[in-house]
Amino acid sequence: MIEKIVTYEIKRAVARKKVITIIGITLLFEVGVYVALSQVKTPRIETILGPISSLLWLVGVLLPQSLLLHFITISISSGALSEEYEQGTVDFFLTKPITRLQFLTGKYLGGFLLVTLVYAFMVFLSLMLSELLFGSQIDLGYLPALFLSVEFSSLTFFSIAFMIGEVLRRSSLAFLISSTVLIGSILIGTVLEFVSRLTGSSIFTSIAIALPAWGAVELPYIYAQGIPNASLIVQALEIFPAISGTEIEAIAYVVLYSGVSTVLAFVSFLNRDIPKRVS
Amino acid sequence: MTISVKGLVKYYGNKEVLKGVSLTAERGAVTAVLGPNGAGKTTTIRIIMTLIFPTKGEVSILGQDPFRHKKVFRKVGYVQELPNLPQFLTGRELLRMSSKIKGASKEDVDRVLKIVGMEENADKKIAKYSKGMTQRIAIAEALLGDPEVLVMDEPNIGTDPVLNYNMRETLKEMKKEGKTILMTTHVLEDVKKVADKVYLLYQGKVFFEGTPEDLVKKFLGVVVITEASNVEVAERSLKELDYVRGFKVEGNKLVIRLSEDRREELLHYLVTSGVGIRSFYLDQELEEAYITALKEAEKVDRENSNL
Repeated sequence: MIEKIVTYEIKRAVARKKVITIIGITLLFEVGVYVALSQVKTPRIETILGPISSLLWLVGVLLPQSLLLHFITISISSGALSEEYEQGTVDFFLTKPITRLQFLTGKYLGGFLLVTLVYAFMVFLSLMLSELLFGSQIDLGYLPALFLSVEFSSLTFFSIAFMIGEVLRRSSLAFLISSTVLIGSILIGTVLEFVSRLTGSSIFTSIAIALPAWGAVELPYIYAQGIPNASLIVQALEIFPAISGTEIEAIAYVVLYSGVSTVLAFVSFLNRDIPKRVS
Repeated sequence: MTISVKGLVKYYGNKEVLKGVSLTAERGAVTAVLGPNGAGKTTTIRIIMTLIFPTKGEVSILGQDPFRHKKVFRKVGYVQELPNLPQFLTGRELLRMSSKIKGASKEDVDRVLKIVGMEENADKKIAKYSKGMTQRIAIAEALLGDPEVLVMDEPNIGTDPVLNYNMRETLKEMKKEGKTILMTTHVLEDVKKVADKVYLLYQGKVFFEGTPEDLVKKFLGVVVITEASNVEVAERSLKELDYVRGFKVEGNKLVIRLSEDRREELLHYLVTSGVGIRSFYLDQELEEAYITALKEAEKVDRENSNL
């Protein structure tokens, strides 16, 4: 039964203009980045890019996950449940031989599968464009694990937005609040790190690391630092270059935020009444 | 009994919207739940359909607790009030998806489309449907899989007379096949024509339970209509009878309200008085009975709240 809801969720998302827009943005973003890199031909840039041109697939794979992928994730998951309430279609499914648990699991997995497909499309474009514009790419063996780390870290804001969408049952409000949490924790994290340097107290760095954005954004970068000769690209793309945390910390915070949010979403959905159409 | 609801209580915050509602719906019968807006009809139906959790009370469908055994919904069709269906699907896509969920056959999709007269429009997006067409598809969806139980929450909103007629005929067929139908409605014509049992809800409580005839008898008395060739004699004769609560004259027709069911005695009396009876039949003024019952319910409620 869950697979039927997953299929429905993908169809529903594709039918919405929002997802078409996301795919359009993705295409523009990836093409724009690579075309820009290939067109800037000053001697200095060529000197910098020369040694790493065979690793430029990393740019398109890592750059979206700094911010764009999290927004896409929020956009998809904030509406996964709340739009069903707004359109009143949740009644349709819950009066069928489908349990609430199956329905919610289907919606969660369907939404996350869509995020995966969008990111896979980004990765595909990165590989294609980097090969096309900068020649043969190397170290692609790191790609599967990097892909998984991006997917895993995107669970943070996927789950937060999913939970807020269920609790508030308003898609626009869920999108706004989740986006604010993302941007807010990036800004606060940066400020906290600055304060930490001024005061010399590591407590502020610890707080910055504990904010939702750090683990979600940094985990793939931490992993990518292990790729030979990739440090220049990683440093250039990182949002939190100054905050140094470990891979374990990043994983722990992703698990914590996505775990707590998912549990809250499930508890709420399994125990609350389904109201008549809310808008 | 196929559907059984016992002592349903529902609070929204401090507001008690259901105050111990109990009802049953039997096989081979249509059970209608009536009541003014806000009486608790939709809340009761939404609890039966597991969309709302009761604060207290029990629900059973085909002997199972639907909150614990969702599989029971394979045998239940449901038409929601003002159906909200996924707009991006076509009618046929929706029915196919639903048939997979309910375990119904592909062929069943064509069968239900035919019942509601939507074969030609089945491949249009639901977003393009009129209110009536959406209602037709919702009814078709509820009939998928030949359900043993049909639950409908005001299914007539936005429907045309042809669909209403077809729907009534379908309900009669389903009754003959031994299916159970539970519906809320404001359309008393449907109640009169198909309902076997009526529950009247008022302010979250069952105020009346019985057949539609019982409703009329209890709140209007027995109403007979007779056509007489000598109306003046009939008027004089009727005034002498203590069990005649009142009557009105409409041309040659007399609408007579009796305080108790003494129809045979009345007929004999009118015939022997030389009234010239042309026809004599029982009338079910359900609408009037319903309104009278509501007034009575309001009075009782006021008295109770004054205590």
